[in-house]
Amino acid sequence: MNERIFVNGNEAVGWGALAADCRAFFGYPITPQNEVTEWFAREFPKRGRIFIQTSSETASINWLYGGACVGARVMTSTSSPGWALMQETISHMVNTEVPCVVVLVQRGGPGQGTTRHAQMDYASATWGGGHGGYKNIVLTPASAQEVHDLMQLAFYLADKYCNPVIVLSDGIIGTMMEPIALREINFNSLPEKDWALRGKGRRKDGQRRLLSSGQGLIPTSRNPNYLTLLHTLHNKFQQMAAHEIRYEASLLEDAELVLVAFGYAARASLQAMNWARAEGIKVGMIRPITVWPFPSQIVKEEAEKGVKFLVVEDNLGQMVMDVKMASEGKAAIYLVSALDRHEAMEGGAIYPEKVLEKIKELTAS
Amino acid sequence: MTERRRITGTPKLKIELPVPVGACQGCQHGSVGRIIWEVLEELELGENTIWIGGVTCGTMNAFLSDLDAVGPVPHGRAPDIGSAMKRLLGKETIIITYQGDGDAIAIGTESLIQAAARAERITVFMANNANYGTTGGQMAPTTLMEQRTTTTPQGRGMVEGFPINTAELVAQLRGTAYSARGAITSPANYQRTKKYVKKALQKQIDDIGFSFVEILSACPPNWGKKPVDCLKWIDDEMISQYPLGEFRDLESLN
Amino acid sequence: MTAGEVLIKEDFCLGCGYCAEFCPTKSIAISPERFNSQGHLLAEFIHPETCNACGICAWMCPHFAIEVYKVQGG
Repeated sequence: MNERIFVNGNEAVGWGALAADCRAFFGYPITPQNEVTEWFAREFPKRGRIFIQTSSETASINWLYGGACVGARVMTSTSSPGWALMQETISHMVNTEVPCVVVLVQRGGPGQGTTRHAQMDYASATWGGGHGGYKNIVLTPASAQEVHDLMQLAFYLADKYCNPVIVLSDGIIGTMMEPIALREINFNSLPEKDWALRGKGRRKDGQRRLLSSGQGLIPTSRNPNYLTLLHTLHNKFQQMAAHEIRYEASLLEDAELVLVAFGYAARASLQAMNWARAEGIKVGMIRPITVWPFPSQIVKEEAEKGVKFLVVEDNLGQMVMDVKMASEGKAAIYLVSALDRHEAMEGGAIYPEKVLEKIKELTAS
Repeated sequence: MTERRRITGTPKLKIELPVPVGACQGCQHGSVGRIIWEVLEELELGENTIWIGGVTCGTMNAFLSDLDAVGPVPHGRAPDIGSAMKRLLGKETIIITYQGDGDAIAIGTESLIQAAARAERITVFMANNANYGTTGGQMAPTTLMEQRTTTTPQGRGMVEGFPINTAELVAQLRGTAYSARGAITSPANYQRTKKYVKKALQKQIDDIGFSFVEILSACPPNWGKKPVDCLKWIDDEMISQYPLGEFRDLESLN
Repeated sequence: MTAGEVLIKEDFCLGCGYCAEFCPTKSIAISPERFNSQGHLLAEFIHPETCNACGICAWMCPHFAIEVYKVQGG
C-alpha cells in the first residue's frame, strides 16, 4: 500500500518531482509558492540532489536552461509576477528544444495583484507567454494528489517533446492540506538524450554536440535553417495537440448545462454540480487536466448536442475564449468570473454557492 | 632532405570553415577566441569543456568550437547557465562563458555578479570592445567618456554616467578566485593575456572559485578606425580607463 | 639553413594588416592590388628569406588566415 501523507499542494510538488527523479531545483521566493522552495531546500540536499535559491526568477529560469542543456531533469516554481520574468528564456528553451518543468502557483494580478489565489495567467500560460508564438503543454491539477501525479507526467512529457511543460496551480490548491498517496507512476521509455552537452570526450562517438537558442539563425544538424526550425516546432505542437489532451468529464449524458472549470474553481463547480443534481437539475462538467492542448473535441460534441456552457474561472474571462472557439458558435456560453468572488478583499474566491446560484438562473424554465 | 615542421596556425579546437564567419576586418573576437582555444588545447581540456556563447559578435566562436557548446544563449545569462551546468556535471567538466561587454556587464550584471558572489567554479571571458558590436555600435557600459557611438553621437557625457571597470568590480567579490584584464595590442600583450586565460582556467581546474578575464578587443567598423589604428587607440585611450593586470589571484577562498 | 614559411589562406584573410604591423622582420605586407573574393586586399609573404618562423603573424591574425612552418634544409 502506498504511503499516505498529509501535505499541501505546494509540498506535493516536491514529492511528485522526487518520484520523477528530478535532479535539481532552482527557485526564488514568491508567495504563494514558498512552501515549494522550502520543501526542496529541506529535502533535496540530503538526497544528493541540487537546490539553489537564485537571485531572481530571471536567474532561476536561466539556471533551468543550463540544467536542461545537460539533459538533467530540472525544474523551478514561481508565482505570477515571477512567471512574467521567465517568459523570454522559456521561449529560448522552445527554440533550443530542451526540456524542463515550470510550476506556476497563480496569484491575483495584474501588478502586485494579491498574494493569494487566482487563475489570471491562463492565457499567458496557454498562448505562449513569451515572444515568438510557441506552445507548452499546460497541466492543471485540482488537488494535492493530482499535483503529485501531474508533476511526474510533466517531466515525462517535457522529455518526450524536448519542450518546457507548465504545471499551472493556484494559491488555494497550493496551500490547501490534503492527504496524498506517494506513488511512482511508470511511463513508456524514452530515447537517450544524445543531444545533451557533457564534454565531447564523454560520448561514444567523441563528436561535439551543439545547442543554440538561435536554431535556424545558427545552423544545427537538426535544423539547418530557419524554415526547417519552424516546421520542426509546428510538427511538435501538432503532435502534442493530437496525443496529449487530458480532461475529466462528469454526468454529460443527460446534461443540459455543462460547467467548464479547472484548478480550485473546478472544486467549487463540482460541489455546485452535486448540489444542483440533488435538486434534479441536469448539469454536467468538463474539467480540463491539460488546458493546452485544450479539450476542444468534447466541448464541440457537447455544443452540437445543444447544451449551454457555464465557464467558471477566477479571472475576467480567459478560458471562456477557448470554449467559444471550440463550440464554434453552436452554444450559449456564460461565465462565473473573478467579479463573482465572495468578498472584496484579496482572499475573495469563487464559492460553490455562487456557481449554484448561476446554475439555477440559467436552468430556470 | 628538407623537413617542414608546423609552428602555429589555426588552433586544433577551432572548426575549419571555408569562409570567415561573421567577422569584420580586424575584429578581435577571433583573437580572443584563438587565445582561449590555444589554452584549452595546452591544458588538454577539449574533451571535457562546454563553451557557452553569450549574445555578442563573438557568439560564433561557440559555433566554431570543436567542443560541446551552446550559443547564443539568452542575452546576459551565460553565467547562470554555466553555474547550473557546473553544479550538475561536477568538477571534471570545465565550463566557460564567452561574452561581450554589453552581454556581461549591462543586461548580464546580475548573472555575472551573482556567479562571482557564489564562487561558481566557472570561467567567464568578457571581450570588451566598448560598444554593442552586433547591433551596430551603440553605447555600452564600457564606452569611454566622450567616446562617440550611434547612441552617443555627441560623445558619452554626464547624462550617460561613467564606464564600469568590470575586472576590478568582480575582484571585490568574496567568491572570486581570479580576475584579470588583458589586451591583444602587441605580441607581448597577446602572450600576457594568454597567461591570464591559463591562470583563470587553472583556478577552475583546481576548484578554487570563480574566475574572470576581461580582454580589450578592437572593433574597427564601429570605432570608425582602420584596424591597426584601433590597436593604438586601445593602448592610448582604453588602457588609461581599463588598466591591464591581475586584480585578484587567490590560491584559496578561505 | 633554417627558414620560415608562412601560408596565407586567401579566402580567410580580410587584409586587416596586423600581421604586417607586428612581423619583426617585415616579411609580410598587405598587397596594394591583390584582393580576395570578398574584395579585401590580401596579406602577402613577400620576404621568405628573412622569416624565422617566430609565429607572431599567426598569433595576431584575428581571422585564422595564417599557418607558419619552419623549414630545415639539408
